[in-house]
Amino acid sequence: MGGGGRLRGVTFEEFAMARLPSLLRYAVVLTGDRHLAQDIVQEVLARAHVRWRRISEAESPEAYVRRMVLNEYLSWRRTWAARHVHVAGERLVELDDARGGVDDHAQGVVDADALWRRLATLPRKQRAVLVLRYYEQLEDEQIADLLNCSPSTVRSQASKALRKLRLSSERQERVHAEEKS
Amino acid sequence: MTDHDEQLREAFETHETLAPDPASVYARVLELSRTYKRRRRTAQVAGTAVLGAGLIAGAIHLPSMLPGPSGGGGVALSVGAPGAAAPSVAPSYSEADLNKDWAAYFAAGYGYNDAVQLAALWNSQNIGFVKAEAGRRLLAGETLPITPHADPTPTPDPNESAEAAAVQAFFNAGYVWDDAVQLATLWHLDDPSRAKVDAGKMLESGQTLPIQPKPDNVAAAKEAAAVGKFFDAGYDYNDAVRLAALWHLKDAYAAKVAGGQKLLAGQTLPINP
Repeated sequence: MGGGGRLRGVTFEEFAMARLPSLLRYAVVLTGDRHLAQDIVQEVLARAHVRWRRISEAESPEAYVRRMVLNEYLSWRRTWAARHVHVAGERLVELDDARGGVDDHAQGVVDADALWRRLATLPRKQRAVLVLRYYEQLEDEQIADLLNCSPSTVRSQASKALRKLRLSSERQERVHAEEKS
Repeated sequence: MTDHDEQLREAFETHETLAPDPASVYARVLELSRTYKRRRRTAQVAGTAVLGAGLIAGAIHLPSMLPGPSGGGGVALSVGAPGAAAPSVAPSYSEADLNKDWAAYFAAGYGYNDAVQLAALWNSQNIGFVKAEAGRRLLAGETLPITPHADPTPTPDPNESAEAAAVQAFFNAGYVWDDAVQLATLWHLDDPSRAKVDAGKMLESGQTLPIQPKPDNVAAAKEAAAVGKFFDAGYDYNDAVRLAALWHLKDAYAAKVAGGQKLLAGQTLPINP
């Protein structure tokens, strides 16, 4: 997670100028949807602006705001996830159709796109765990602190997510076994 | 690193570029925060006049003003091509120096708009550095090429306020982004955001929309209203964590909802914000 240590006197606009692009990228990765990411970051930063004096005195204002983004994502109007899966999936499939197959793309990009689509099917908490672990590169203990749960819950959520994404060998083995039977 | 670590990192990193334009997001942030500030009746303005989109876009390409994840003790600041009166070096400030210089700048009555003016004179786009350099000069007994002008209190644009209220009405009624997309199609609008505003205005005037919100979304909107009330009252995430512990709720979000519902019902909470 980003740094941004204590720096009294930094105005909100200075903070936003320096950190908004990174916050938006983080929100896109968390939500999988640029519109939702925009809504969430807007909402969070507007609140942060109102309480900026207090936030700027935090140990790490950026970590504080990133935590706000995470919480907003986890609590954002409960039902968005279900519709998001549908919409995001459709949009990406449409994109695939529009570009007429994968011949022009490196296999790595194709794989990344396919995985990105599968990520859209995860429950929010599971996706958050993966984003925090693999994008933010946090330790499970840090993730547990952010998500208000135990490290073992983090590991369990990550494991479930990886199985659902068909990234775990256990799942691969099971599918293989089912195919054989 | 395992194979799936790399796959996930690649999936995230190749898609983070979907992020929207920071300048337009920032403009909306200021619009929203003005609404929130009015709600909270806090009149304090800390030099936060609206930034031009160009400044934001320029700042993105400048070295970070804030210590980054791998930053050291100092804060590196740089300026653009030096002009006639431009600071000639790109110094590395300690945090203490920076605070001292900024404090001197603001204590002399200068504000954000003055820094923009100075930035133009000094050929710099880094407003934070300009404030610091100006503060350093003031502390050294020098005078600045412009006189101070306190930043004006932003006057809310009535049109913007009306639109923000309309969007809020849209969400409060339980409509969501997908509904705005559907309405935009029905109304032949290019931009679902425009549909949100138009729909919100219709709701405010007591009209009904051609589509109904989903019951789950209506329930979620009520929750969101409670959460909004919780934040508007000055409480934050850490307060929610404390309340969740006090009330034996499963998480902070549940405490935000419960707290907000109590506040909406005119009750008080067991802790102060």
